[in-house]
Formats: sequence, structure tokens, C-alpha cells
Amino acid sequence: MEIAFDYTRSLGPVLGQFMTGLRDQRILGARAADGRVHAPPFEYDPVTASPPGELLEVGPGGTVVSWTWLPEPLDGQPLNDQAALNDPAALNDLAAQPRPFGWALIRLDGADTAMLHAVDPGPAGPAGMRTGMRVWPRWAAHRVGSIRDIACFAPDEPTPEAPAPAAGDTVSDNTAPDHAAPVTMTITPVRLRYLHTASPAESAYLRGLAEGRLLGQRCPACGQVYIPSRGTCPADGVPTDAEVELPDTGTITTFSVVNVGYPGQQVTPPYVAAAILLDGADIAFQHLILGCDPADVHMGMRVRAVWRPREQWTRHADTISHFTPSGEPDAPYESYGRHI
Amino acid sequence: MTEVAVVGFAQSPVGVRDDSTTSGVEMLVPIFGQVYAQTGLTRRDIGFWCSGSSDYLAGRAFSFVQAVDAIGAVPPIMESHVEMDGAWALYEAWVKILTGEADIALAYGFGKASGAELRKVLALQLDPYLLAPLWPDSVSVAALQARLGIEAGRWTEKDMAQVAARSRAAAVANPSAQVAGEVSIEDLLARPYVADPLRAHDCAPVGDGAAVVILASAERARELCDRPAWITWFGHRAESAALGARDLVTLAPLGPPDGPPPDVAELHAPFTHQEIILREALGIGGTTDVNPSGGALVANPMFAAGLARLGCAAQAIMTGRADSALGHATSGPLLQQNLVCTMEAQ
Amino acid sequence: MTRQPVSGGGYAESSPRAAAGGGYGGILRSSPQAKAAVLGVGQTRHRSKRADVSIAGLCREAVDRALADAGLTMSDIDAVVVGKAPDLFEGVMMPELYLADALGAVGKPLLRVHTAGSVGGATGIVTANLVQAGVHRRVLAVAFEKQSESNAMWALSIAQPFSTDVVAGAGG
Repeated sequence: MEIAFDYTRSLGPVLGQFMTGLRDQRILGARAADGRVHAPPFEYDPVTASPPGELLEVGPGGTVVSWTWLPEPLDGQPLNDQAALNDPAALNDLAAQPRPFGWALIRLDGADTAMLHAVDPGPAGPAGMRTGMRVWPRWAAHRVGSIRDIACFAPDEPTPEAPAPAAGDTVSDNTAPDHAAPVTMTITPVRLRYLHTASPAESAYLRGLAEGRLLGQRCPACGQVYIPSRGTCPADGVPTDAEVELPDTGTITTFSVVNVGYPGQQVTPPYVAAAILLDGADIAFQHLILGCDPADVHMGMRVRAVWRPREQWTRHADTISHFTPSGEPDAPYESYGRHI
Repeated sequence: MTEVAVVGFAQSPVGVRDDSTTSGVEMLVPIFGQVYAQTGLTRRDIGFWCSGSSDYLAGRAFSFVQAVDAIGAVPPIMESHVEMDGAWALYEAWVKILTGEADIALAYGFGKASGAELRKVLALQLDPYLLAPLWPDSVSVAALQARLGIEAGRWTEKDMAQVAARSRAAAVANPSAQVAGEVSIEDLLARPYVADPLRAHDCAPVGDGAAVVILASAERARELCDRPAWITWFGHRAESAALGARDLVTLAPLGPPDGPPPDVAELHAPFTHQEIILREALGIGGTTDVNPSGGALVANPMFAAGLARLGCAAQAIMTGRADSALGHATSGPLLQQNLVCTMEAQ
Repeated sequence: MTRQPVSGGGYAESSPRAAAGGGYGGILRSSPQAKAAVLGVGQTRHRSKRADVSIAGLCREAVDRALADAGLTMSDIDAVVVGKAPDLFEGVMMPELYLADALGAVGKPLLRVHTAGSVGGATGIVTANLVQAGVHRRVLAVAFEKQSESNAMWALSIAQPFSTDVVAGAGG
């Protein structure tokens, strides 16, 4: 399961200045009430909680005050961001061999605090990392106003003849659409992968679906039948394990016509999402209603499952494609009113 | 006269649990059963429930709601939740009893770290503008702290390995531990770094687990437990989020400002060097038995490990092994938040 | 097309009659529960997008207004409670950690409340309880959301494996 979104972050006045500075290859810091210069700048002083006054330029060089080496980097980290690489060849290289790098706390010249960022010590590898080493920012070729405008720090000291270059580009970066306007927003992609496990109760339900059966579980204390079961009776807090097979017909207890779209939506609107109480169950579950005008769907409507073709049956809830009106007379309110 | 006591504690065995979902229900039901058996209580006797867990660990908004199935919420219950370690849920429960709105409270914590990219997820705790976009993983960040202490002469890699070896040896007696066994310092130091200067043994294992603690007011505690662990001090504190500006190797003093050292201290230190920092901040010296359970280095169920430390400390009193105990929990990167609870027998 | 309101709000609560016991722990209470009173409130203007502030800036707008309303400064505050429902909205895990400096919580107790859709009310309850229990004298409660950082409906409707997610999420 993947959770992915490109978060659009508004920066506010202090961070906006800082990110604008990065886009323009300047690193800014803030002076705290106690006189210490913080780089990166604070939005609110850690002691007084007040915003800073005018920001001041620091660095660009700095000194490493602590470091570590990461032999097995994670995707998305500096020097290992597969999504950021435009060159397919480089992408293949990366997939074949992730690029180890160092993390460091770096005190930029003129600052009293340290900045956490990546360090590429070059061919020396981890042997090239040491506390006290001098490093300078290696700027990204395409800068937008993000902490990643610094691709990493490196021990390559810029000289007057060769000022700190952007990686593979010249100092004056004309790729930004309007590089004179201050930066106010930054985009941060967040991508996380999860290994989702179905519980024993859910697994029993899914295995049942793969066999064309609807299996619920009964609570030994109150006798209610739940489908799909979550393994415990939510009313009593005791495990449910007695298996109960249910027919694939039921009653709509309530429903909603979804007209709104959103990222990640699985069904294109408009569609009817209904709570369906299967005959013999004591709790309704959500499913899709098709086969009628959404305006005709109503509480108490009788429905039956429409299964996919047998060869498509799997351990997944969409083994049932949707529910459709069965044509029976409506169920009386008393038969489902308790389960709304 | 102190007013609230721990009267029950249980924790699940910690490991990679293929049979449980991220809702945590399967891990909770058995341990709820254990504390009910310890105290003779049923769910209907609990006046307030509070849990600690994380949506980001579970990969789902409101993930803790499903765990309420383990409670049995009919008739309706008074319930709350912290998106922090369950130790802070215990704190909220303690406050609730102090208000008089409940006389028995149950706090629980749970986390299934094996399903998440834990090192990456925890990077989202960092500053969202300045740090999180770089994805500084939790082990690398801890390594930076460890190196600062080494180079300041505060501890050595050998000191760190000693913490690991002692913890693992103690864990042999702990059926909930994920990692346990006798191991030599030399053997540990011969192993490779995972993030110089941290080796695998310097880092807590990744696993799934849950913990539960029952609190009772003075009026009820003695009927529920022969030897309640009376809470004598309960507080917590946050440090600055600015990792580059904060002193990362020294914490200002934590815990009650005076009093004799506790017989037992359970410290929530997911990294070996952090135990050293905590011992100093708590003023814990040689007379205190530190982490007889093995601590977080042998079992670190996210969002339950801190609660488990408090529970283990209480258990030392309830079982008569100790007359006084201290439990500590931490939240956030590099010991940013710390909670301390001291308890005693009476 | 639904609007996704972005909001920030802050409330300060205090009791001038709270039981003695400053600091942040070790309360031995022998008197009946103290009363809690609200000393000041502050809110931001709620807009679908606040492009002019960071998350901390949004919170501070409400906090500063509440402190001004109460006639207090941050140094008068003993503890901070942050109410915030799913972290996924802003993509910040446990945002109270990042906000510690902005909220004046460095060196103080900081608690987070997350009870899904009821979080606003629950935050008020937890904050009031801290004063009623005599644990703190003055507590700052801050509840916020900055849904424009992402898309709230996406965050509440993330498809779960094995299931047909037909619901468009909206609170919980």
C-alpha cells in the first residue's frame, strides 16, 4: 500500500526569505535574542518564542560538527531521489546501485548552530568524513526554493576562478520561470510504502469470497453477526470466531450519492455508495450500487450481489462487483432500523 | 497521601506479527484479558479509556478508532487518544482520575512498526520545511547524536555496547522481549556499523506490540491489587525541535528534584547512548537497577514501549521486587520529549 | 465541488483558583477539584487556503490573539495542549514536536490530543482537566488544521488493500 502526495507548503515570511535565498544560492540565518546566529533561521526563537528580525547571510562554507555514514540509503534521500532524476540512464544506475552518502551537522561560517544535511565526500567515501572537515554547498541545477536546492555539501572548496557551481550547470540559473520574485511556496513529495496485513478474521472473509461465499462471525456474548468481521465484537470486546455463512441478498440501510472527485478515488463519480445489511447480519458494510438510476436508490431497498465471473474470484472485496436492486418489495423499517 | 496507583499491567510479546492488522485489535484483546484477570475488573468497571498510537505508523487516518473494538464500547464509554506513546495516554488518565471524573482508568498503546518503513516514517517528525524533505532517517539522526557524545568524551562505543549487552542479558527473563541473550562486548564491537558510530545492537529492534496499564484512585486501588504502585510524581517536558541548536548530549535534569534514588528505573531509550544521557539527566547512579526488563533495546513496540516502561516499573513494585520505581518514556527525535513517573509501595 | 476549509484556532484557559503546585508534576491534591475558567480566546480567519503563513505562523496568529485577549504572555503559560486530527492532512507526523518552539512549549509539558472528528472538543476537555485536577495553573490549548497543504478528502479516503473503498471520506 502506498501513501503518496505532493504537499504544497506555504512558507510564511521567515522561511520564504530563507528559501528565496536558497534559490538564489545564498544561505540565510537569524540572530536570536541571546545573540546566537541560527542557520537555518528559526521562525520563532527557542527561548523567547519571538520571530527573528532581519535575516543575515551565512556561509556558504561550514564546518562539520558531527557526521554519520549511510551505507544503505533510502529512496528519496539526497543523492538517491529516483523521482528527481530526469536521466533514464542515471535512474538505471541508481536502481542498480544506491549511492551511499554521509549525513552531517554543519556549522556554517557566521552561525552558532548547525544545519543537518547530506555530505558527499567524493571518491574517499566514508574515510573522507571527519568532524572538523570543511564543506561547501553543491547547488542543485534546478532550484525552486527548497532545502533540496542544496543537493548536498561537499569538501570541494570553491576558488575565485571556479566559484561553487550548480551540479552540471552555470551559476546564473535561468531555468526558474521568474527568478526575481520571492519564493512563497514549496512542494514536498511524500511517498511511504506500507505492508498491509489482513487479520485472521478478515482473511477468513476474503478466503470465503474467493470461494463465492459470504462469511461472517458471531459474537459469543451478544450473538450479533458481523461481516466482514474484524475479529472482535465492538460492543463486547470479545473475540468472534463462530463462522456464519450469509446469503448474498440484503437491504440498503442508508446511502450516499457521491458527486465529488478526489485524488485516489477508485470509482468515477457520480456513484451510489450504500450501507448494505446482508440478510442475517447485524452490521452493514459499504458497497457500490449499480443497475438503477441513483435517484431511485432508497432506504429499505432490497439488493443482491452481482459477482464477477467465476474465474475472476479472488481474496478481495471486489470479487463482488456491486449490488443491484433485486426487485423485491422494500424491507420494512423495523427490519433494519436498528442497524442504521 | 498520594492518590492514584497502578494496579495492573500487561504487555504482548513483541516481534514481527504477521497475524495482526494495523488496527492493533489482535494484540490488545489478550492483554486486556490479562489485566482484567489481575484486578478482577470487567470492561464495564473502567471509567476512562485512553490510547496512544500513530496514524502515520499505521498508514491510515484515525487508525486508532478500529482498536476500540477491543474495548467493547456498548454502552458508550468515556475515551480519548493521544497521537503519542501510550505513556502520555497514561498521563491523561492520571489527570482524569485527579479530577474525580473517573476512579478507574485504562491506558493502552500499540504499534505495528513491521508494516511501515519505520526509519523513513519517523523523518516526518522533523521540521517539515528544513529537514523532512531530505528524509533524514531516524537511525542516521541518532548516529549524529551518538558521535557528538563520543567526541565530547561523554561516552565511548564500548560504553554503548555495555548498555546493549546488559539489556540483552536481562531480557532472558522477560517473555515479552524480542531480543535476548548473553553476548560479549568484544563480539558486539566486532560487528559492522549500520550508521557510524551506531551498530545494530545500539538500536532498538523493529517489532509489533502493545501494552496496557490500569490506574485506580486511592478509594479503589486496594481492592484491586495487593500491593499497588502509588504514583508519587508524574511530569513531562519538551525540548526545542531545532536539532542543530539544541544541546543533544545533555538533558536538563528530569524527574523529581530530590529524594532517594529508586530501586528500579525503566528507561525508554531506543538507542544505547540515549540511556547514558537519561541516566545523567535523572540522576540515576549505581544503586538503581536500570531496565531489568531489558528496556526498549530488547523490545520497542512503537507507541507502547514508553507505556511498557511505566508498566514494568510499576510491576516491580506490585510483585514486591522493589519498594520504589521510576518509569520514563520519550517522544520525538533524539529525546525531544521526556516523561517521568515515580512510584512507591506503601 | 466542495470547499475544504483551512482553519486555525487557539484558546487559552486558566483558573485563578487552581490548587497550588507549580512546576509540572508531583501534585499532591487534597482539596476538591478546582474550577477552570477561560481567560482568553483567539482565532485566525478561516480560509480555504492561507498562502501567507507557515503551519507555525498559522498557529501563532491564533495563539498571539488568545494571549492578548487574556492579557498574558507566553511566560505565564505552564503547559501547552495541541489538538490536531490526522497528521496526514499536513504531512507532518506528530506536529506538536515541530511546533514546540513556535508555541512557547520549550521547557514545558506538551500534550497532543487526537480523537478524530471530536478533537476540538476533546482538546478543550483535556485542557480543562489539567486545570481542574490542579496539575497546572494556566494552560494554552491550540487546535489547528492546514488542509490546503494536501487534500483532506484524499487523506480520509485512502484505499485500503482488499476492500472496495467507495466512501468519500469526510471527518470521523
